[in-house]
Formats: sequence, structure tokens, C-alpha cells
Amino acid sequence: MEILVCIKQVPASSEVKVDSQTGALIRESVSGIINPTDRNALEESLRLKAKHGGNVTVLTMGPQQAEEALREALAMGADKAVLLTDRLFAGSDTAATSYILWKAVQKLGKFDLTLCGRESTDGVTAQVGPQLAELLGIPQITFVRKIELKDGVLRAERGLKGAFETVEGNLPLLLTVNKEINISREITIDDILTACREKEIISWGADDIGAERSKIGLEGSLTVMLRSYIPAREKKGVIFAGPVKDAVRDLVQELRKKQLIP
Amino acid sequence: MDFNLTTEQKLIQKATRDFAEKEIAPVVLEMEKGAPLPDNVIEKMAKAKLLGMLAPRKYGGTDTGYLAYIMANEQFSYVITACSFVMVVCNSIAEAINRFGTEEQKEKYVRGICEGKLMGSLSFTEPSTGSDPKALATTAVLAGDHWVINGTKRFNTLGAYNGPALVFAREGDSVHCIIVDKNCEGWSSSKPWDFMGYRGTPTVDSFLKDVRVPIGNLLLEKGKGFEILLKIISGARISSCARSLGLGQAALDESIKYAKQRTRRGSPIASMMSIQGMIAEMASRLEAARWLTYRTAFLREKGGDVLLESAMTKIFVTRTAKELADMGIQIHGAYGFTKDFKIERIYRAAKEGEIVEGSSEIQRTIVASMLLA
Repeated sequence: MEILVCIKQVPASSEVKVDSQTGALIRESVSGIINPTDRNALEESLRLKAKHGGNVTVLTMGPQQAEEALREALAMGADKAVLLTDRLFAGSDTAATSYILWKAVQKLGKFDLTLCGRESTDGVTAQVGPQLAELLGIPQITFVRKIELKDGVLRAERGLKGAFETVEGNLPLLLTVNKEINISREITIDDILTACREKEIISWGADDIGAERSKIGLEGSLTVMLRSYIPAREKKGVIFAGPVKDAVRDLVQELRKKQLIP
Repeated sequence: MDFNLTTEQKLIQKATRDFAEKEIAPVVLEMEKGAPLPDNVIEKMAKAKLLGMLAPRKYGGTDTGYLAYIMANEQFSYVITACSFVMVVCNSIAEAINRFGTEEQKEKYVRGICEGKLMGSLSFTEPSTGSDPKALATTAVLAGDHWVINGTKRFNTLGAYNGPALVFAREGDSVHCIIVDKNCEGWSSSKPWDFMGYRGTPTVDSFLKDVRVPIGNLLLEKGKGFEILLKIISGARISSCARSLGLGQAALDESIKYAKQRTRRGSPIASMMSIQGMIAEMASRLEAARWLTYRTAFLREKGGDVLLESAMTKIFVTRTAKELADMGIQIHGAYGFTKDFKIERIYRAAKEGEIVEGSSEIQRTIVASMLLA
């Protein structure tokens, strides 16, 4: 079974600072990590590979620094890694990004299953996976929290707000996964050294994948970011007054209403 | 000069930090209250391949490279744990046996350490000496095809665990380094010392009474004990610096976190010039300490003995860690004086660097004697 996993390198959230003038994330000198739900997607692909056989290819678009995310993916167990990097890709919104990924997939070949994380922690649009599925012309199942694969039929449980939904589909398919789908594996020093010293990363630019200039970068973007800001925090609090028993009862009810406790 | 870390180094840093925070940090507080080092922690460290980073792959190590090993050491030490000593001692002993041992010794002991089945120990210090080989009282006498060793080794980390101890013993005027399988007949250990910081460190006194060891357990050659010790110690000094870096970074991070949260008259104390001054000072000194340590580790990786460089680095870096811990307490104010805040533990641990693996006074003597020779 050939599995493709699309990942993105995002800033390590604990280190993120915001430019007070522009509201934009300051990415310089901030270490990158594999976007958390992409990591879950990769973990799921490796589990599927262990169970059903096949290969896992990891694909990412980003600056040269994104190579680190691919090395980490190789250390986790991916078989092949492809970096799409080109100055022409800079400024791409989700539509342009999806186009670029699609062009790369056309060059890579056919995949039975494509996995993406639900959304990235920096963009938080959850658009790339669905857009890629449309370009690939394959069905998509989003917000997946559980997968079962048998005889070419995939059954996925979707985690929605307050409900679950089970969907079936035939391969090839694209899935976007939620973080609850698994706990991703830790990597050892040995895994890292093997990934860095023995495995190759393929690097492609715009020309390598035949990307049309009008569909990539700022020119190819369908959306433009006008403003980014941190909203002012309103200090809200609720006081549960009265006798302790009543106050506790009211508090528990409120927490249950907000689905913060079962 | 390219000061950029490689992808491999960055990933090793990240993996080691993640491991320490997930597997080690949860047991640290119990150990600080007096609990011993949990056995399963060593198993986990072995599984994560942290005990044989300097050993070749053919013996189960990962051959990481010395600089990356020091970086891993630093990240591991960020959680301020006695387990740092387990990592250092095991890697040092595996490296030493790989460097000076016979094929048979390497296959037996290096592999055993890398797999976590054997724990190494560096058994030099005695009640009467921590640095002067001429004052060694432990003796090794050749009796047929065995060495018979008698003596006491003080502050012997992992001395009570099965595995190879590099025991430094005197035969007349010569100092030998002999591999002794700990817990053999004649080997016994005290209960662990209760240290001020890094509590739970499995460091004991070991007593050797007529310990019989095959003649083949001599490391390298007769009389080469001190030469071997110097090579091991130069690495141990740099590891001590790595520990200090982890501790210093923790002091800085805790201080920044506290300064941003603690308010005075409605504003965080981070807005006060006095606090800003201390934070800036801490960060600057730490940066200098870090790159000095990395440079010394780099030189060692390239094959240098770094006897001078490692001594100079240890003087500076261990003092820096102590200063950062002190400033961290000052920033925390009265809360820093309580056990509720991590900075207290950092402060207690910080002094270790200026004493262990050769005190700062010894390092100054070494540097001065080399420069004034």
C-alpha cells in the first residue's frame, strides 16, 4: 500500500512571539516542529504500513529549514521524503499550497491513501487537505479519529462536536486526522542518526514539478491577509455564590454544559 | 567557521529534551524528597540509546559524535536530575574501554553498557585523595594470573550496580587502571551519599577487600593508569559543563517565566530595570558559557586532548551556572527561598559543578601550570 503524508513545519508554540506592530508571527530564530496533527497523520500511516505493508512517503512545502521536519519524519520510520522548496512558493495561501502539493503528487505517482493533519497550528485553516483532495479528484474524510482498513475499504470515525460519525469509502482516499487518533512515537538517537546519515531527501523546486507561475506564491493565492492581531483579552469570571453545596452543584452543571467535564 | 547546528544535532537535542521531560521529570521530585533512582529509568535510558552515545555501533552504541553527545547531555540535564550522572558515567566508561580496551573487553563491557545491562563506574577518588594519584592508597598486587585489589573508593557513582568499574590502584610507584566487575566477591558498597543537590544520585563508597580480578582485566598497560584517567577526566569536565548549561538554561527560563507573571503595583516585575538587568546578565553569560563548551567539545571530537581547554571551560562554565542560580533566586525573591519553586532545586544543584570532576581550584592549578611551564 502506498501512503502519502503531507506535513508542515510550524513554529514550536512555546517560543512564538508576535510582532506588536504587524501582528505577524516572528519566525526567525524560532525552532520548528512537525505540525502536531501532521505528526499524528504520520504516526497513523506508519501503523497502517506495519499492519498492511507498503511504503510511506512524506511531502512538505517550505523553506530549506523544513528539511528538519522531514528528517524527523524519516527518523519516525517514513521511507521517502520530498521537500518542495523555492523562493517562488513564498507567500502562497492554502489554494496555492494545495496546487503545489498536487503538482508534486502528479510527479510522485499514485497513492492508495493520503493523510494530512486536520489543521496547522500557525494557519489554522484546515483547508489544505480538502483542497488537495479536490485537485487529486479523490474522496476525502475529515476530522478522523479512528481508521479501520479491510479489503480495500476504509472505515473512518469522524470526531465532530458532541458526536461521532462513521464513514466508509474505497481507496484511494484522502483523510485529515484529529489529534485523538493516536499518540505518536518517540524517536531514539539511533533513529535520528539513521535518518540523517543514511536516508536521502529529494528536493524539488517550481520547475521540477512544472508549476505554473500564475498559480503559486502571492500571484497564485486566492486570499490575501489584510491584518493579523492578538485580540484584547476580556477578563471574564463567574462567581458561584451561596451555600457551598449549591455553588458546587451550579459549578458542575456549568462545566458539564461547556463539555469541560463528562 | 560555521556555528550553525546541523539538523542531526538539533534533532538529537529535541529528542533528548523530550525524553527527559517525559520520562525523567516525573520522578525527579520524588527523588529530591529522598526516593532512590527507579530501576526502570535506567532501562528507559538504555532503550532511548542514551548510554552508549560515544560507543561504536558494532558494540551497540550510536557513535553520535562528542559534540552532539554534549548537546544531548545539556538537554537531558535541563530537568535537573541525578540521572545526568548515570548518562555521563556510562558513556565515559564505555568510551574509555572502547578506546583503551582489548576486543574481548569491548565486546563484554561496552556492549553491556550500551544495552543497559551493565553500569560503569569511575573508581578513582578515595578518602585521602580526589585528584592526586601519588596519594592513592588502593593497592593491586599480582598473584599468579590474578590481581588482588584492596582499598576504598569514595563517591563512586553507580558503585553498587553490576558492571565494570575502572579501578585505579597502585603497584609500588605505578598506577594501573584495572576493570573490576562490581559486586564480585570482596566488593561491597555503602548506602548512597545524601547530597545537597541532585538528590537520589546513586553515589556510594565502595570497599574492595581481596578482590581477585583476572590479569587480563588490566586496561591498556601497567603504569598507564594516570594517563587513562587524564583522558577520561577531560571528557568528564566537559560533561560537567554540559550539566551546568542545562541548569543555567533552566534558571534563566524559570526566572523569565516568574518575572512575567509576578506583578507589583499592577505591572509584571519584568518591567523593572533591576530585573531586566539580571535577566540580560544571565542570558549573556549563559550564551558565552554555551559556545565555550561547544568549542571545547568540538576540539575533543577532532581528536584533541583538550586538557587545558577543558580546565579553562570548567572554571568559567560551572561558575556561570552558580551565578545564574543565584540571580534566579534573587529574581524570585522570597518565593525562591521556598521548595515550591524549581529555582530552589537549581540553586542547590549548581554548586556541584565547581567541586565534582576536579574542583575549580584544581582546574586553576592545571591551567596555571600549563601556561607557566
